[in-house]
Amino acid sequence: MTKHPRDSKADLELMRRVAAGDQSAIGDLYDRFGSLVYRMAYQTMPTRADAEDAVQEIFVRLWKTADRYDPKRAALVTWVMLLSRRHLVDRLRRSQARLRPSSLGESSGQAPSNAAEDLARLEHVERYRDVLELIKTLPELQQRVVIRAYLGGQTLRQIGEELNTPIGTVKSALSRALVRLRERAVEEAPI
Amino acid sequence: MNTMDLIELAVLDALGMLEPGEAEQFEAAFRAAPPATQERVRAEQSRLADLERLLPNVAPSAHLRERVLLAVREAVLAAAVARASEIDDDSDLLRLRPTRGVTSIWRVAAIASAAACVAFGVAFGTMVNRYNELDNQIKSNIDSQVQLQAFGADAMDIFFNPDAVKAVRFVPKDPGNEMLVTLHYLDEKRLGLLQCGYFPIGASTRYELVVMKNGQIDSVIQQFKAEGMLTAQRLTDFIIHDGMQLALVSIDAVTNKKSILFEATITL
Repeated sequence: MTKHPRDSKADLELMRRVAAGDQSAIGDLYDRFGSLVYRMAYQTMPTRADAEDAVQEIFVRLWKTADRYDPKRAALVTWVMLLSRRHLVDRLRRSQARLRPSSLGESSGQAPSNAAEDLARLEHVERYRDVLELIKTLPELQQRVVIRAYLGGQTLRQIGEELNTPIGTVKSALSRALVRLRERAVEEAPI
Repeated sequence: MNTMDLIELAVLDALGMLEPGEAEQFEAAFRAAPPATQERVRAEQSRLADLERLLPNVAPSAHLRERVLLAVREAVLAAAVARASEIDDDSDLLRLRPTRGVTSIWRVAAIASAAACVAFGVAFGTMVNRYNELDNQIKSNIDSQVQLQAFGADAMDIFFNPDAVKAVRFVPKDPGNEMLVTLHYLDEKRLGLLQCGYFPIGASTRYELVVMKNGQIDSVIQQFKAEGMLTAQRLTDFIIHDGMQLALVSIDAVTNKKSILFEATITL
């Protein structure tokens, strides 16, 4: 969680100043969430340079949408994470470097890989190292879905087609996987 | 859509996995849901912030902050340029409907002002492309509407009668200072047009343009507060002379201590 808990009134005031283009407010916003957004981008983007580009774009997007921030809808940290995640997924889907089916051994003519093969192919990627340890603890379908969605930015429809699984099943598997991952992450976090 | 569906969608929303149509459907369902359900959804999305723990433990490079701030500032400028260019028939400046007591000369002035707005928009577009030249004198004329509102027809002299205008060059005391200041002086009118960009806004934050002598504040020309991205101040009966030293200071709300942000020496 953010290291600088603030009350919602202060968060709202900050976002109003950000919306007005106040440079010191934008600096404050970066100081609070820059590291978090960078870590999200680093995990999602193929290179550090791409991650830095994404962070830059996300903060521009935060400025553009700052006047829509509603503390009743979400805490500021949640809102920043939601917006960042949406942007990263958009960027990943546009990027040629995203985790394509072929990188998971599912190019045309090949049989669909299983979860163990997916994991083996990704384990050498440094940015996935920690999260893969947790993903390994999930059931088979959840592993395959979360790798494609969380790390690969694939749509639910694409995943359903690749795994020959109904989209409702994919949706539920992903939702449950996320909840489990969160629980495991909390359990494993140092007190 | 029942509560469980809504929570499932909330989780997917947190992952950025909803298609545009689904995202709208989710937002609509969320707004229509009873407060208790909304609270559950909010709580679930907040809990997902714990996914932060799954992120790699890396730190951004030191230069990224500066890069991000510059990118946002460019976006803010670009938006200001776009706004300045959006002069349409609904603009008060261009509205020429019959008005009681308005002489034709004022209508001409209004048209001239509107033309100036458009001209400024073009000029500002060029400025954005030359953003690294932050000390360019007309650089901070980023919002013509603010400028016209504050300076009226005098603002047009800056562009259309440059011989009548002197520009004062301010130097930031701290090189890392990202604020902008320009001061234009119209000799014949004894008028100063001060513009401050990106000054921190706050009810308690005040600024002063002062005359310096022997390194000390000699007199105060104008005190003001920052208002939004661009603050414009009109300085009447403003007289400058060669060698005159000016400074722009901030005033601490608690201690009233004045700190110099920018300095300028007049060269005529």
